[in-house]
Amino acid sequence: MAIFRSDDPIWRARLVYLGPPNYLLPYHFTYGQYGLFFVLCPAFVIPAWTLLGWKSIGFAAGAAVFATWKTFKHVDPDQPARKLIRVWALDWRPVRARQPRPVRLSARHIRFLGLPQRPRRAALTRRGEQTR
Amino acid sequence: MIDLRIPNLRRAAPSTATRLALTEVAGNITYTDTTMTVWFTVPELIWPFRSDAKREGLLDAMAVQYAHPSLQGLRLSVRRTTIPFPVDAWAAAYDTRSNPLPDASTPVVGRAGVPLPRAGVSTWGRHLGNAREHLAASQYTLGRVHIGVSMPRREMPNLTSLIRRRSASGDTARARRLTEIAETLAGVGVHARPSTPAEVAWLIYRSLGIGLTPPVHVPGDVGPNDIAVFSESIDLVRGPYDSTTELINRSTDQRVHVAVLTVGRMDQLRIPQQHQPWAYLSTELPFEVEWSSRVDILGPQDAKAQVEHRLRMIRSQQDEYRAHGVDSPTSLETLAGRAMEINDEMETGRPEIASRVHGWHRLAVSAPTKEECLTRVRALIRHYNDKAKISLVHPRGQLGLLGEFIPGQPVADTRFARRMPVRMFAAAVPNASGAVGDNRGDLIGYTVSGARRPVFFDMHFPQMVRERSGLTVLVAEPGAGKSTLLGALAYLAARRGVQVTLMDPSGPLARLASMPEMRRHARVINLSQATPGTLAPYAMVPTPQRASFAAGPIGDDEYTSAVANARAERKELVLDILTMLLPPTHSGKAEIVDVLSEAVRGVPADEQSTLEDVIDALTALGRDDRAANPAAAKTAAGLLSDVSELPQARVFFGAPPASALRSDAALTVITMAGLQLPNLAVDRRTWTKSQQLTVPMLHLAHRLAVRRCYGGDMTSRKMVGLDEAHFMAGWDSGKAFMDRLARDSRKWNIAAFLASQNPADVLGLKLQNLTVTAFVGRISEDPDIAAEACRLLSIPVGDRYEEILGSLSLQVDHDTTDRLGYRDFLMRDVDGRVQQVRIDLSYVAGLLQVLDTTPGGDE
Repeated sequence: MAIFRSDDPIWRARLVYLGPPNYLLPYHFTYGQYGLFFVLCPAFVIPAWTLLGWKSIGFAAGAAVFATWKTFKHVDPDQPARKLIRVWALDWRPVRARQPRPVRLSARHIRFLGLPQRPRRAALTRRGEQTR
Repeated sequence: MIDLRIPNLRRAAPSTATRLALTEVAGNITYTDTTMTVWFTVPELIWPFRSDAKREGLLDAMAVQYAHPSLQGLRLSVRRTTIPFPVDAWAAAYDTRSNPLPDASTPVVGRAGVPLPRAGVSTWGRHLGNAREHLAASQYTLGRVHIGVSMPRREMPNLTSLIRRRSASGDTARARRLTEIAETLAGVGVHARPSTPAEVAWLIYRSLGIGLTPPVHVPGDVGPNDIAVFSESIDLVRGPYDSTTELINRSTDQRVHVAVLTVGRMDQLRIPQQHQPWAYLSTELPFEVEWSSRVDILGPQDAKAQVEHRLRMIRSQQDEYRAHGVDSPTSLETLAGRAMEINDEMETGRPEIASRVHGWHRLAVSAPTKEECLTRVRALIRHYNDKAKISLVHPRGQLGLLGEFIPGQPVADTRFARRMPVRMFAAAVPNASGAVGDNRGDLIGYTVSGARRPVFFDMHFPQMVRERSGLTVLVAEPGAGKSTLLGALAYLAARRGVQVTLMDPSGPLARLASMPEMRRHARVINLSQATPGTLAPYAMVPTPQRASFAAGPIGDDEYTSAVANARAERKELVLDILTMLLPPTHSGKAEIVDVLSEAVRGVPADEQSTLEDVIDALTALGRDDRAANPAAAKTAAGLLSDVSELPQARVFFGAPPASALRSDAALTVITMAGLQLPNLAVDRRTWTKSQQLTVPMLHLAHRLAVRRCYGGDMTSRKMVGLDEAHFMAGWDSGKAFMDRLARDSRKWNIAAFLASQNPADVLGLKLQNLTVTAFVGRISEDPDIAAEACRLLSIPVGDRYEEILGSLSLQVDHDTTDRLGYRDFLMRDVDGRVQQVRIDLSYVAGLLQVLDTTPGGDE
């Protein structure tokens, strides 16, 4: 019987950082999590420090940790973090149907043709037809 | 390569017209600025009801093709799309090939001298129109699969070409490679051919507007300035993070919502033994699913390098655990083992085993509303999970995923990449199909398993086109729809101008003659009330006509031989009939058989001879003292004279009336209503006198039915339907008759239908090699009987198909008191394709009511 198995499992190995040599960290995170945290941390901390002062640095770092944790809830071997973030960014954009432009007419002056020409004021005066 | 450009978040995304990467279409090649894709069309591959060995062989052949060195390192696009069934083309061809019966008309004549159709009568035009409307309303589609092979538009010259100063070497090498690719894909397995410009244009339209009706396009090359013609009329609409995308055709204002899914984790697959091909699964749902795969073919070296890299990463992680003095997780060891296994497979296996396919597989579903579209998404996910343990994911980024269906468009989303052996990729078989029947005959129903396809059946297609025999067998247990199907086929054939003769012992098919449109063209012969001599055995074997043979001495010899054979057949038939007419206590005696043979020899074997002549010969033998056994002759003559006096036996004696043998009626139904057929498994001595006479009557009735076919033009289309054909297997003359009918069916253009309740009955006639079409309905769950039915269908025994036979037309809901509204059959066509077919003749008004044989069916 022919059994087909994909090679995907070996791409699903969870590679974690255990700590420096001879020291085991109490919590083990993937290299991706560290990477995202180190990108997010300055992005949160620098504006916070600039705007709110050094006391806010702790909160900013916490926010970076929270953002990293929240992001990695959606990350799996099929959806690496960088691809997921890119899709979130691109998917935000709406697409609207092309609207036909309304027809606009513009003109500097309007000329009426074919109307009876009014006699000039001088000619009317001459003929004594001046009304006022 | 990852696109790291920061999107402009303030502006809406551009419309379809501006984001098309395609720049040019020339023949079967599509170009972008940097790549060219050569498109091939893959024909349908018949998948259901084939032996596992054959299907595995096909998968192997396809794997070898995909792993061919000419394809290694290239990107393949596999697209499965659909085209609507060409209803109008079918209707036009069907009308041309038909010679319809004149419509029933009132004496009132219209203005132009044309008779006016009677109210309520189905005219030919109305009949054809109903079939056409039924087909159009069912919205049947045909699958079409394309393979696109992409390569760079311009190649850098390599070192060798620079040394040899061959400036055009890049183009020459590419042309050579393209030829090699075309030859590789054309081989047995994929069997692809270059796409036509019309097919490529359809694919582009269909890809840009999934679910929309493409415009009628004049095929031809499209240059860079005109490429917008494909996308100009299509608009996309979606909000932030929408789960579907709305497509709008600006020309027609047609709107559909499209959702794209991607293939996620895949469990182990056992194809073909346990699972269906994993792309074919998408065609099993009652809505259209578009398929797009973008894959890279990796040769053994590249694939091995990637696996070794992953193995080193896993080993490194294991080392890190060891260095920290911690046990590594068991999963890591398992993954390392799997990587080693793959590595070993690559090192020791053949190229098609070592090669790998890495890529993305997307599915798109469309529906008029968003809610319906999401319902379909859920159904598709559930179907894949149930049938193959494959998880389909409905991810974000729908717009990018939708673009991947368009030829030339780059892969927008690199998530959910699947990596697999090339053989597993071959086992997707998106071109697998369950088509059956010819696309030119009567519309009789649709396929049930796999994609729903209309089933057409032209009973003269095997003789007139495939040059095969015209024998069709119908087998099903009582109530499974065998008689209804036979009657329906006869009705449809008669309407097309085929001369139809039905032998229906029980008689319900005679009701066809009462239908308004058939009343003037049908005739019913009830043998229980027939005039004497109707079944005179000598007249049942027609004398060959000289005109039926070729001119010249060879034709003369053949004609003389045929006349002699007809005489011999008559004698054999008469001897068998006499044996059947005699009481069982005497018929088996050797001396009786001897005197019967002697008497039959003494009577001229002509059509004009009668059984009375044989009785006279027996009487003469009884009086002749020099005869071998005058006493036996006297006994036989006496017994046969007694039989001739029975009212029921009068049909055998005397000369037949001319009207019984010649008739111009389009539909003739021969019945034996009121007579009871005996059980052949029971000893003849226990049969009643009536049952004893029924057997020769049935025997000769079959011959009478066929006798009409030999009376007219050899090439005109004829149909003979014989029910209870297994009664013929008990006598040598019956077997010889069936064999001759099957052999003559091609030469005389006869579509012969044999119906029976038991497959063993038909197998007993030894006509398997002449049977070209078979319909098998529900069969008892007995494994032996089911195995015989499988043999009749030429499908492998023991491959679980017996269970399907037992479950055909079964009421699933045991609590309901409603009758089952359909009947299913397994149909094998002249090309050997087998498929489950649901008979659907609802478009013929009143036909099913007339053919309903269920007691109390009118209620």
